[in-house]
Amino acid sequence: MNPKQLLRRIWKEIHDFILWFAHSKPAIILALLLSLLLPAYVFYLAVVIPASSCEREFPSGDTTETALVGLNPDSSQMILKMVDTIWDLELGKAYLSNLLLLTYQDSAYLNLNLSDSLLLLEIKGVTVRECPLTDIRVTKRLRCLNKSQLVHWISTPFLGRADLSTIPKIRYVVKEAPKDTNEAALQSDSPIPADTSSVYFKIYFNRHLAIEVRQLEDPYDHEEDVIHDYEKEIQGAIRSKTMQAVVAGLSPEPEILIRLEVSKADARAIYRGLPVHPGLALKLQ
Amino acid sequence: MENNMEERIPGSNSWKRKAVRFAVLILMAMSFSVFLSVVLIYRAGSIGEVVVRLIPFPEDASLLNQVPVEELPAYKLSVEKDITSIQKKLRKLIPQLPYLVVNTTNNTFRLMHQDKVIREGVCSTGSYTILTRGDNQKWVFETPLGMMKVRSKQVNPVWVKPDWAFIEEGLPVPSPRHPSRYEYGTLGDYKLELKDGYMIHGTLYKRFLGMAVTHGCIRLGDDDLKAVFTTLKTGSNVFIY
Repeated sequence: MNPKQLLRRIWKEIHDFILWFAHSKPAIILALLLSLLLPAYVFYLAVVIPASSCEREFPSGDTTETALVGLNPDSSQMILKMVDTIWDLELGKAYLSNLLLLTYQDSAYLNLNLSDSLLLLEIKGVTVRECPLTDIRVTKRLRCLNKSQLVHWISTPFLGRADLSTIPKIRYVVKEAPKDTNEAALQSDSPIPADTSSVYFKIYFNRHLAIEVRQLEDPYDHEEDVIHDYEKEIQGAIRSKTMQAVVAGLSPEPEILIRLEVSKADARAIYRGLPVHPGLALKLQ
Repeated sequence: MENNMEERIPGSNSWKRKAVRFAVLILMAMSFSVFLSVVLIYRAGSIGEVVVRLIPFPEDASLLNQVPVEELPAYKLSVEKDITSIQKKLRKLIPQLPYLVVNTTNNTFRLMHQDKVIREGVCSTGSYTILTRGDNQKWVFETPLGMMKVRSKQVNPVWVKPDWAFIEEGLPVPSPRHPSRYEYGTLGDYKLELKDGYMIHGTLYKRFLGMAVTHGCIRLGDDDLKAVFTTLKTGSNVFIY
């Protein structure tokens, strides 16, 4: 059989297969079942459960409003309004308490005030760097938390567990001691030029919170690879976590991501000024 | 109808062929299923964000399980009182004495009194150099981050050169009280002692101000040093980040 005949034969087989498939109900049902069963399972585990798992992650109280039974609608409305105000106050109190707790530690910590669009680096209650936020993106996952859950979520300061960054925290230069004055004279005395590379970093905190900080300025052309690798690593971490959870038949932990944009100088100063496991107080509104 | 089709499609009545077709179908469907699942896993985050938008924002009256309706106003007052008390405590943390904020990344400083900036400018901080000698000896030249206090102040300070200053120059290390250890003028007109040998002082190398070149101390230009020396008191805070 020459190649032309073979091609014709293959084409005919495909054509027959499509015709058979189009007219065979059992085949269509089987194909649909097999194609969608696994994706449906993955969708349920990786998307539906994390999106609706806030109650499991952050236990909520009873929302049935049983205490309002028997009251007229106006009174109920007034009471609910007061409850809402109290939750707002509780949120403010939790934020301030966290700030106070963080002042007891020796190192710098972050004070993220989303209502005033400010990221503050503080030491012992004193703001050492104030960074205006030029862009804030908060995951929609926070929407599924009601105020009592939010109070519970931010009740204690967040603690950084790991981070990813395009710049090193500290860049040490190792210098061997010269043997004599001649060798010392030969050693370069000129200072190392200041690092001007682009700054993108992401800090993973406890309670599923992640803060991603990106510089406002466009990166240099020659840094594309570094930025690409950083983005790839971030995405890779999320995907591998999701993949591992799904393979184990579990739903992945939902990440509550807050993405901030600040100037390059601010981003660098903040990242370098923070300890490896930084504390964070968060003000949402 | 199905019988007519069987006649029209050549070979469709063959069981062997049917089995092969089902096998191919199963394989294709499963491949597609795996592909779709992987895409879902890759895009779970962004799809999740869309799904979350569809969930209505929950109303919450759970506070009423803890606090009776009639006690709500009093409870609100108590929370407000707590907030005021925490705010007071936080305000107390702002130093009453003037203080200095040093940025080791940009090598800049800010002399502050409460919320006001008295003076700002450039300085030099630790170079993040590790000097090694043999296998055992190592010196790390970095400015420690965090909060320190001014322990003492001195006019016309004399620099007592530590061992590393000789080792770095390829010189033999003299005895602790050897005259070659005492250097006049190197630290400028003033010195503010912090802790563990770290100081704020002047410099002969003014061209390096704004750069990370020191052995851990904070170097300032002459005028800035004078302003910092006269403004900061013993016990003033120095915040380094």
